[in-house]
Amino acid sequence: MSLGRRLSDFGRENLGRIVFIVAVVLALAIWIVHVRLNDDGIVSGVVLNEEGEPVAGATVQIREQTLNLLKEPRTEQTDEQGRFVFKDIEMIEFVISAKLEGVGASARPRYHLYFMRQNFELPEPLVLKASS
Amino acid sequence: MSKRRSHVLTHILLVLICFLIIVPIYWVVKTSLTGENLFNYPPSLIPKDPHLYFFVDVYYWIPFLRFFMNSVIVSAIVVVSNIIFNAMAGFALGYNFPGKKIIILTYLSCMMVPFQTTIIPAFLLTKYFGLLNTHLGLALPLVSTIINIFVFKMNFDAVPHSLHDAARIDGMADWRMLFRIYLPLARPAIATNIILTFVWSWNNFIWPLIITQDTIMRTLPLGLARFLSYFEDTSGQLYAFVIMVIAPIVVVFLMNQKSFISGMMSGAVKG
Repeated sequence: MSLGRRLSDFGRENLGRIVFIVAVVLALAIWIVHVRLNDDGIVSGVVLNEEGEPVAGATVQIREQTLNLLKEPRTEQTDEQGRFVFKDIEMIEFVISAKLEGVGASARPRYHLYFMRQNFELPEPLVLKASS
Repeated sequence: MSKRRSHVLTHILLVLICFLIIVPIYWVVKTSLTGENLFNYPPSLIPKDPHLYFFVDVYYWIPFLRFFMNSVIVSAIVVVSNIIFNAMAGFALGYNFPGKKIIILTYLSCMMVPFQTTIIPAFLLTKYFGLLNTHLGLALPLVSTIINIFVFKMNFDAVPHSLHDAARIDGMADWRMLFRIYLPLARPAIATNIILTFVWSWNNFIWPLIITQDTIMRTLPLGLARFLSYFEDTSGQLYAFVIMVIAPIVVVFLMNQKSFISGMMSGAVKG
């Protein structure tokens, strides 16, 4: 039997398996490409006051959710547009909060990422409230 | 009418049994996606806010990829060596030779000895060969398994003897006869070997625990034990880990199930 015939018989008999393996490999490849394109470790967001205006100079703190209690949190200041950007963040799960003397403090939402150093824009702004 | 009624009853019973089998598996999948505590009351059947974060936690909390690759390498060694050695043994047992019955009896009696009782000599032998803390050492106790030798023997016994005689007249050597004629005809036996040995090797806990000293040489079941030191046993991460451990076994079985079932049945009606 020729090699071509053998290969075609093999393909016919194992079509389901071949499709499955190709699909898994393809899905993995797409995932790896996605990770490589989005792994700068940038976590960003906006801090607003209760009126919905951006707050400049607020201190934003990001703390990893880990069993290692000795890990220090990182902090950044917001710019004129109330935006903050953390670079080289290597966390999978973190708590983020903001505060500014005289304005107030935000809630402490917890976020989970899908991979280490994932670029992440906070889906909701951190709102400073006097009472919190 | 009564026959139809008995059919309906049978099907209701089968549906109930299927339900009983599926529910625990469904619960594991559900908990891995929601993290809902197993003891929540009232239990909810539909998962609320499912996500994949527990799988991410598993990946980062332990060296999952390393453990996974160790398990894959060890299982690959076990599967390949089982096919080669068991086929050779099964082929040899097809011949009549002095002492054949004693060998078969020895094999059968060895099957009754639990592995736990042979751990110390197995460990000493592995140490003597310098294979502690290696992939080959992890695979060593499973490189040939007796039950699979008999699976091959049963399959080879079903091959017409005229084929053997024709090959012998043509001057074919035994090893070529085995690999060119008998093995291609024993696909169900090969599938049975692959599935059984893969599952045994994949789930092996006690042997890797004994012979591995470095964390990086550990396999997935040991990872599970380590994982339990981080998380309580009702957490979503644990169930996600269980899914990640059993998924390859399920895939291997589904890809070979037809051949596996016919492999287990071969020889059953041999007269």
